Amino acid sequence: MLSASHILVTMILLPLLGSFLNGIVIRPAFAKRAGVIATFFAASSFACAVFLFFSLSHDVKAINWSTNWFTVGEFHQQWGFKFDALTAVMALVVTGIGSLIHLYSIGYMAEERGPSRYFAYLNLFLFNMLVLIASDNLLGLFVGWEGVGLCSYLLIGYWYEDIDKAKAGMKAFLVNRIGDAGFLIGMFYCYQIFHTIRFDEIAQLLATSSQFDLHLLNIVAFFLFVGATGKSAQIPLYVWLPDAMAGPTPVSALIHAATMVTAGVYLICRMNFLYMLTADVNVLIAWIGAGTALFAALIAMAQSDIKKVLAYSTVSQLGLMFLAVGSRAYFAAVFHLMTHAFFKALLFLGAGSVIHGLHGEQNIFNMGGLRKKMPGTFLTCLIATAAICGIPPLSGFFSKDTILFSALASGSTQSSLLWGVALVASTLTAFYMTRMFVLVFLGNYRGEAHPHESPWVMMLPLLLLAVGSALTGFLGVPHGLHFMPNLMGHYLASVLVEFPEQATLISEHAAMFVATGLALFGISVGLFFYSRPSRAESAYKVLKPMHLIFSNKFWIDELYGFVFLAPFKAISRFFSSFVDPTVIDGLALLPVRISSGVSVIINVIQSGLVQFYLMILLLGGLWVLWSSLKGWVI
Amino acid sequence: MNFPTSITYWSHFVTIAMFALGLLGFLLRRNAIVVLMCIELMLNAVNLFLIETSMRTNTPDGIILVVFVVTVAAAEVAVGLGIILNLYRLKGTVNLDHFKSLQG
Amino acid sequence: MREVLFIAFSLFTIGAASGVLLSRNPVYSAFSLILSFFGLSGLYLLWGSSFMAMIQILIYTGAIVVLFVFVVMLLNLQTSRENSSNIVFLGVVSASVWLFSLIILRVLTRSIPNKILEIPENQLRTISKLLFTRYLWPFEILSFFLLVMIIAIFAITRTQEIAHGGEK
Repeated sequence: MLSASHILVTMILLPLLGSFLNGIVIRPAFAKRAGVIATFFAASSFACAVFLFFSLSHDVKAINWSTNWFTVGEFHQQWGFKFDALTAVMALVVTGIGSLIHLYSIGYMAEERGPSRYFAYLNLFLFNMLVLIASDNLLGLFVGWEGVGLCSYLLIGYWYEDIDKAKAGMKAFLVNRIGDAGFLIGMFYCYQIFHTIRFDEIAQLLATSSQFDLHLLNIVAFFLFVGATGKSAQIPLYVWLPDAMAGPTPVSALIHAATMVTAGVYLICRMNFLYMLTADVNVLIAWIGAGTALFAALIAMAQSDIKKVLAYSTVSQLGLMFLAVGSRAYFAAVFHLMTHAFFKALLFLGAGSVIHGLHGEQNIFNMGGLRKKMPGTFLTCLIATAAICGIPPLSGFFSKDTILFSALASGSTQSSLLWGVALVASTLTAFYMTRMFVLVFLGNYRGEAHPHESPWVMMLPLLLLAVGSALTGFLGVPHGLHFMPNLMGHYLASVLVEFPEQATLISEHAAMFVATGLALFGISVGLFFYSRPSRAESAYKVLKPMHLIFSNKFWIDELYGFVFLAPFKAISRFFSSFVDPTVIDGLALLPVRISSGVSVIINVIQSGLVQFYLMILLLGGLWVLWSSLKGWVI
Repeated sequence: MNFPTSITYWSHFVTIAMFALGLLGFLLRRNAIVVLMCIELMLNAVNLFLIETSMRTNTPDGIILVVFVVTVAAAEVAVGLGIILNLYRLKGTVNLDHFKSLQG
Repeated sequence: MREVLFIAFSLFTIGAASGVLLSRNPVYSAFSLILSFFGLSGLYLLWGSSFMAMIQILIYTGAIVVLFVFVVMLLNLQTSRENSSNIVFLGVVSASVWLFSLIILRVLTRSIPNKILEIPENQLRTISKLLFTRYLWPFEILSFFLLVMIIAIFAITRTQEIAHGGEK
C-alpha cells in the first residue's frame, strides 16, 4: 500500500509528468486537450496535498522522504522532502489555486496556436514550486527556486515573437539572478557556520547551542534576504514584476500574485529559527517591506493599465508581508500570503476575464459600465476589491490587521513609525483599488468593443476564489477578537516560532478601528473622485506633477539603465570591438602569423630553379663526404 | 713533390678537372643547351676514367661500360634537346631563370 | 715522349672544357666541346685504345654535338648577356665544386697503384665477343632503350597539341 511519503513524492512529481506529456510526448494542438491534461495533473496533485494534509496530526508532525543525491568529500546531499504544517498550507494554496488557474487557462488560451507549450510550462512551474516548498534543505529549495525563475521567464516571454515581451522575460530572469547570487552566498555562509544546510539540523543547532557569532548569523540572514528580495520583488529588485505583465494573464495570476513571488516570504518563514535571532537584519527587512509597500502604492495610483495596477498592488502587499517577517510575526506573513493568494489571483483572473471580454483592451480609461455587461466578473471582483481594501468580514481584513498590529507590537524602537507607513500604504491601496474598480465596472462603457461574459471554465475559478477570499479570513482570527480561535495559528505553531507581543500604545481593537476607518476613507475618496469624470480631471490638473512622477514609476527603470546597464554595455562594447578582435584574435592568430612568417622565410629555398636545387644537393653531398672521409683524406 | 709525369696521374687530373668544370657550368650557366653540354662534359670525364682504369688493369669491362655510357648519353641528349625544344615553344626562351613555376 | 704528349693533350682538353664553360655564344660552346672531345680522343689513343678513340669522334663529335648545333641554329639563340649573378653565390658554388673535386681526386690517387702495362692487341675482337656473350643482356636492353628513346623523341617534339594556350 502506498505510504504517506510515497504520496508526498507523487504529489511533487505529478505536475512534472503532466508537463512532460504536454510538452514532449503528446503536444496537442488544441487548447482544450492540453488544458485538460494539465488541469488533471494539477488537480491530482491537489488531491495528494489534501490527503497529506489530513495525514498530519498531533502525533505525526511531518512526513519525510529522501534519497541520496550526491556526495562530495564530507558533504552528503540528499533529495529530501518534508511535509509539515507550513508545507501543508503552502501546498494547498499552490496546488489548489494552481488547479483553478489551469482550468481558467483552458478558456483564456482557447485560441492560442501552441497551447501545449503553455500548459507544459505551467505544469513545470507547479512542479518546481512544489519542490521549493517541500524541500527539507536549502539546496533542494534552491533547485525549485531556480526552476520557478526559469518557468517565470518562459511564461512571461511566452509570446516571444514580440521583442518587448521577450525582453520582459529576460529582465525578470536577470533581476532574479541577482537575487539568486545573494541566496547562494547566504547558503554558502550557512554551510560554513552550521556545516549543514538542512532546516531541521540548523534549527536544532540554533536551539541547543548558543556559541554562534551573531554577526555571522546576521550575514547569513542578510544574504538569504537578498535572494528573497529578488524573487519577491522588493526594493531594489522589484523592477521585473510590472514588466512581467507582458505574459498571459493567468500566468500573472499564478506566478506573480499567488505563488512564485511568495517564495521569498516562505524562505524567511522556513528559516524563522534563524531570523528570530537576527535583530539587525529584521530591522532592514521591516523597513524595506514597509517602504516598498508605500512606494508601490504611490506608483499604482497613477497607472492606467489594469494589469500594471495589479502588479504594483502585488509588490505593495508583498511589502506588507516582509514587514510582518521583519517584525518576527511569521504567522501573520503566512496568513496574509494565503489570503492575498486568493484575492489577488481573483483580481488577476477577473482582469483577464475583462481583457478577454473586451478582446484585448487593457487600458482602464477605455473601460467602464461592465457591471451590466459582465455581471459575474463584476460580483467576484467586487468581493476581491473589498478584501484587498480590508473590509470586514472578508479575509483581507483579518490578515492585514494581523500584520499591522504585529508591526506595532514588534517591540523595536521604530515600530510606531513602521505602523504608520503601513497604514498610509493600506489607505492608498484602498484608494487606488477603488479607482480601478470604479473605472472598470461602474459608470458607462467608454470603449468600442462588444464586451461579453466569459465562458464557464473561466467563471468557475472566479467563483471559487471569491468564496475563498471571503471565508479564509476566519481561519486566522486574531486573539483580540474573541469569537473564534486562531485555527491556523495553532496549526502552524509546530513550525513557526511565535514571538510574544510587546506592549503597545494602543490596544489591538483600537488599531483595527483605525485601520478599517482609514480604509473606508480611502474607498470613499476613490468613489468620490472617479464616479464623475469631471472631478477626476480637475483633481488631475491640480496634482499633475505628482501624477507625472508616479506614472513614470519614479523613473527607477531609467535610473537603473543609466547607473548599471549603460556602463556595463560600454564595457561590453569595449571588449567586443577592441579586446576581442585585437587582443584575443591576435593571440589566437599568433601561431598562424608565426608559421606564415617562418614559411615565407623558408620559401626562399624553393626557388623553382633546378640548378639551385642541385646546388643544395651538391652542398649536402659534400658535407656527407667530408664528414665520412675526413680522416682518410687528410 | 716533384712534377708528376705518370699518365695515370694526369688522367685523374683531367677527369677531375673536366668533371668539376662540367659541374660548375651545369650549376651556373643560364642557357639550357649549354647546361646539357656540361652534362656531356661530366659524362666524358667519367668515360676517361673508365678507359684509363680498364687499360691499366688490362680488363675489358671498363670499355664495355664506356660503350654503354656513350649510347645512353646519345639518347639522353636527343631527348633532352627535344624537351628543350618544347620549352622553347612554350616560353620563347631557353633561359633557365624563366622556368620557375614551382616556386613557393 | 708519351708523357709529354699526354700532358699536352690533357692541358688542351682542360682548356677546351673551360671554353665550353666560359663562352657567351652557345655555338662557341659547342665548338669548344668538339675540341675537348678531340683532346679526349687523343688521350684515349695515348692509352692505347684506338677503338674508343674512334667511337668518341664518331659518336660524340659526329652526332651529339651536331645535334646540339642543329638545335642552336634552329632556335636562333643569340649571344646571351649573362647578367652577373650573385657574386656570393658564384663564390660558394665554385668553392664547393672545387672542394668536392679535390676530395674525389685525393680519394682516387690514394687508392690506385701506379702501374703501366703494355698496349694490348685486338681490342675490337675482345669487346665484340664480350658484348655478345657476357654482356648480352645489357646490350639487348640498350637497343630496346634506344627504340624507346626514338619513340619518346617523336612524342615529345610533335607539334599538333603543343599548348600554346590550347588553341588549334
